Amino acid sequence: MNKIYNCHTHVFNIENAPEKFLSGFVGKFVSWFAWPILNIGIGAYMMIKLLKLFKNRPILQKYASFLKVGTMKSQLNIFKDLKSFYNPDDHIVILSLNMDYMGAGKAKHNYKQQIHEIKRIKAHYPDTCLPFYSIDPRAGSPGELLSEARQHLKKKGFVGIKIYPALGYYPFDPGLEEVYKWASDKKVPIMTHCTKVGSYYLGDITAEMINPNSFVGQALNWPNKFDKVSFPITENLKKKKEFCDNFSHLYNYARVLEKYPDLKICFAHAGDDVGIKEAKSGNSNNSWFTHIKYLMQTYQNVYTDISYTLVNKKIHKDLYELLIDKDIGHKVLFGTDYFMTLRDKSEAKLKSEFMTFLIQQDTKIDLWDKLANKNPKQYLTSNFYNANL
Amino acid sequence: MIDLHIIEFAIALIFIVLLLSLFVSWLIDWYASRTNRKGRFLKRMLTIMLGESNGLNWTARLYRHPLIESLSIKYNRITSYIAPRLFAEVLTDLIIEEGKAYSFTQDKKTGKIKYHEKESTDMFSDLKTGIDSLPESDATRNFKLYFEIAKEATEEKTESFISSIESWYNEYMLRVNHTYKRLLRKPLLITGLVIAILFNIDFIKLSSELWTNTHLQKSIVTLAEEFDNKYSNIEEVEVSKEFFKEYKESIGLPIGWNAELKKELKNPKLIKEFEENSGNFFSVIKQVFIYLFSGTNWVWTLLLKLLGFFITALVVSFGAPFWFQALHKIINIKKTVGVK
Repeated sequence: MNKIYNCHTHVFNIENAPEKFLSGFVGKFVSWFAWPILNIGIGAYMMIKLLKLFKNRPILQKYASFLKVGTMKSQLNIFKDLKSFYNPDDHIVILSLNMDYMGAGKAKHNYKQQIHEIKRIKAHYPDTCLPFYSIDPRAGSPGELLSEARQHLKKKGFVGIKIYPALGYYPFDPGLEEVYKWASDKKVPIMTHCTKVGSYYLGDITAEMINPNSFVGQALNWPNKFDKVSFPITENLKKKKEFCDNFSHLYNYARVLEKYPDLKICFAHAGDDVGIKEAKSGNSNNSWFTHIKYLMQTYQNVYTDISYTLVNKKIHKDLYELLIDKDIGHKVLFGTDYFMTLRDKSEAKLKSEFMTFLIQQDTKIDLWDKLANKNPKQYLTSNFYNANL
Repeated sequence: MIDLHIIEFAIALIFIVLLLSLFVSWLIDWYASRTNRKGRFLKRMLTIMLGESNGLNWTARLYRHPLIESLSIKYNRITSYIAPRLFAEVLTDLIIEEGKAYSFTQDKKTGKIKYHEKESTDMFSDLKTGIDSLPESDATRNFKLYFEIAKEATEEKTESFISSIESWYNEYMLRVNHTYKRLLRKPLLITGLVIAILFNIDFIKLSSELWTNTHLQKSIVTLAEEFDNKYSNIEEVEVSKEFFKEYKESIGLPIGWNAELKKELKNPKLIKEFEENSGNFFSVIKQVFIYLFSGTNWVWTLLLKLLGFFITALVVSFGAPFWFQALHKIINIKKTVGVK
């Protein structure tokens, strides 16, 4: 059996997350009392034990597992936990995340420290740990961002770039142009978060966010039937969560891809299960899944992964159809979104469920191998890292 | 001429207060250890000491160093003690690491990735490279100063640098310990008050009992003298559940609500009720209220009781080391007076 490449995981822990990080998920009130408790070893321990008492409530058991991993002492410990679900030779992409500018306060261990710890993981597992370096246009000048990205990929063992526009910037931010240009030249894989749920910017919405600068023009080829983002934005100015969908909207990427058509970019989560359901309903033109498929068909280096989305068994059939699509099936990647998924399923169950599902399909090709080995190897290979060796 | 009776009374009283202070400190230490309070306090203080500059978080790096991380065995806990030498060595290693070039390279044939670190030529030169690569901050300024001092040393230059860091840490830790003790005053006072109320340890009543009951006073003085002979330093006292149990039984102090209620209740009906339900917690509470709020002078009784409890808490807040010293001094005075 070939090595597995899990293209989408996280290993940051509570110390890497800013102090208001939880409020984006559970609301301000729960976050206000839970965050300090979770930050004390005994507090987290007690909370996990308490949740585990509710044996007949599977959801609480899962949250206990999620908290247990999220409050582990270091990223290395989390990575070791993740590795335990795979064969020693399987490869794991860990996506770093710069949360220093998401308007959620200060983290105990900032992004620089997060990267420092990832270096330690890489030194422990040089072959199987494949980290992505997170770029945020607010973290430095375009030149500095490029220099950081270049240095980390050239020498420090990182194999790709991670962006997360929902944390408060647009994919066409002028600060990112140099990185795109370089990544496009060097075939460096970029991973971007692409769902309407997840972490989002928690600070104040600025004038720049409502009417942003851009290094690209409008996406001329974007089908008229699809919805798009028009600036200045006039809706949802008070609803941060909804407003933040504007950052990640696929139309913004279409603008970037028209300028850099060779950019190797993966839209994570396939737009999520809701988007997939939406695509099948009458509202398919507004579905991010539809938009992703369109970009995958139009641009040769546009990928998607099935991380988190594979939690929902009801859409396994849709993911299968995506994988056997003769035009874009070779650009679908395996990922789990560990440890976010622990709220729903264990890593072992998540992987085995989908693997079993694919094996049961009556096809001539080994779909699991395509999803978890061939396609990822193609995506991850760049001028700095060759996954085919 | 000091009366021996007064000295013995003082010895007995101080010894009781010392035991009480040890008990309260023991409770606080237990709580601090369960909540990793000391560990978190140390980390907070080290964050102040080392600061953060240009995103370089020294404390985070320090605690992630394998030598420090291995000190925290239990799940999600941080160590509450870092030895000065270890601190200095780890910090030196972190400075060197900052300046050390490293890379990961992939073998073009096998695809294997290897980690390379620039070979160390001379530790002191590596230290210089490390310091030069640090962003400007107060900590960097100190490192530069210690480096300059080490440069002047005739031999063992790196050792001299490590020693300077060690001394810096030691001096800082003296202040940290002082701050920690100062911060303990409030929890000592509050816990002391709670314990005083729960166990009915009323300082005024206790003093009067010790003053009048010479037999009790003498037996406590004997125990206090044995204690003083046994321990020359407060650090030597190993407190445990058994330790307090043993002293409680040997002293036989009239503390606790039961003892006082038995003595003070005048109404035969109440006495009967109390005796029938003496094991029942709520019954004791009820009787305590009846005792405190009945009678003609209930306001005075209550105020006096509260004052007694407050004095107990106040004396406890001075901490066990203070009372240990006091006991030692007063026993010495007794010896002198006894000789005369």
